[in-house]
Amino acid sequence: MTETDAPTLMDQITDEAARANPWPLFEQLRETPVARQPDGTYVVSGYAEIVALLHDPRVSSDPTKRADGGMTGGGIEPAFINTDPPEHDTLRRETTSFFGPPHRPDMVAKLEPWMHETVNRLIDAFADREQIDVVDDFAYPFPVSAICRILGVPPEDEPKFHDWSGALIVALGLRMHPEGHQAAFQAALKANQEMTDYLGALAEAHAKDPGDDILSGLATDKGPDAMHMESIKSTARLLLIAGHETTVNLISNGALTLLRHPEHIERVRNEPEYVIRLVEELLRFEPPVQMIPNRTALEDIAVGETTIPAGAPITLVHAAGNRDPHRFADPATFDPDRQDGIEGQHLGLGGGVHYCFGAPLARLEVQIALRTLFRRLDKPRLVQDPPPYRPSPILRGPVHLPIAMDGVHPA
Amino acid sequence: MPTIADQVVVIQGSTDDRRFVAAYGLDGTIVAAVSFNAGRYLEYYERQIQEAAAFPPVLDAVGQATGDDPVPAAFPPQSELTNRPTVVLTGHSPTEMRVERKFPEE
Repeated sequence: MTETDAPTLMDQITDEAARANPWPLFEQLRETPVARQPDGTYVVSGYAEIVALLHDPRVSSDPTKRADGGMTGGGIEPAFINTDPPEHDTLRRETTSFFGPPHRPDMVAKLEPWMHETVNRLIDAFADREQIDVVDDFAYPFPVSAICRILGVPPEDEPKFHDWSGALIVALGLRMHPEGHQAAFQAALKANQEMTDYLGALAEAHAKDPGDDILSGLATDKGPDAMHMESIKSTARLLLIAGHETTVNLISNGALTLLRHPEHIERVRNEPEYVIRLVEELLRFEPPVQMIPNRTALEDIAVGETTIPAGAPITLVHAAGNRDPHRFADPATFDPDRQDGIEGQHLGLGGGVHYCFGAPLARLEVQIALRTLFRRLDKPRLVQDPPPYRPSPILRGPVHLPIAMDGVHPA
Repeated sequence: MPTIADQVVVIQGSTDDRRFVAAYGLDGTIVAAVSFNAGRYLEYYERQIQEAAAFPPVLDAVGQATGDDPVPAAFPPQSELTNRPTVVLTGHSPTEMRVERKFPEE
């Protein structure tokens, strides 16, 4: 955008002022489901168009495939989110082998008792308080402890990641309009380097004295898919950032949505399985990942009435697709009982080969977090609506969510 | 009766990696696709089949196969009537997708 141009719809969407309520802008965006931007990026907002591109082998996640050369990663090896098959498949398969079936089928499930314990301990601490911040006091510490535990980061090092991850997310949010934000990009590069160095040292320590965490697995594997150290570091960095910046927002968005629609709170308390459907609807209604800006067309791709030219950057706006009335009836209504969305057809966890790696972990965490929180809080209510939001248009959620309550029920 | 498909080509991945998508063609039209450990790309080929796209598919894809020529699909010829019902596409436009179920006479 230059000074003489009127702001485009995407300028308005990425503007911080739209963060609390981007939905009317997404509705306008969907009027052109595949929209070319002045910078040559194609923004895709229709459900059918997004799903088609998520499964299209002519769409790349490798930023070097862009006609303009793309963004550089500061000389750091790309993680599997920014690679294509077959490299992607090898990296992701190796990581999965230490996280889920078939090699570690109980990695997530066996954390359940620890999750209940951790969530209850956080809530116990609210007993003497009339007001809490759901983000700082609950939604942040729980998933961060979980990802650190799974990855093999000692609990005392958790605070280091708060600053590193924060700096990286600020830069991610600015990459659509990078002009005039050199300081933020420098800070992100520095954070990236420090985090990568830390993870390298930690991987080497785990190689000598391994535990049952992912980093120990990656560092000790001698199989055919074993990663070299640079890939181990970038994979660990990806998992840490993803574990920090997505589940936190899903828990916060969930608490906010429930307090705005309190008729669902009773059902969460009384029906043990209701929270499963509720979290799926939440992933549709308030997804923490609003858009995926890292795709590129490898050749001319006809989608809908538009042809995306080879080399053009593509941004998939999952949040807009999630409220596409052609796919979901009455899309602006929060309804966990809806029959057209509960089969996991929402775009809240992405789709295609890059479908959310941590989905089983995130689902279990958020189900336990929301059910326990709302079972135990006595008359919870919003103090500020809308709450203040994090600036990122990509990873969206409140920065603080102050709520009041009359007390805390025993666990 | 025509055969189901006359040619097959690995279009993404490779059989050596045990991760691939293979496309089947009949008279220059894509008619089927099979994936092994690559199911998330099948939706794309589903649409190609609906649109009766050209075979062999020409595309610049992630995990592109080595580009070998299609080989005979080697389905057994269906030259004789059997007791199995056979679905035959009719009509002029392949997108109309009208089907007739034909039962051979005993």
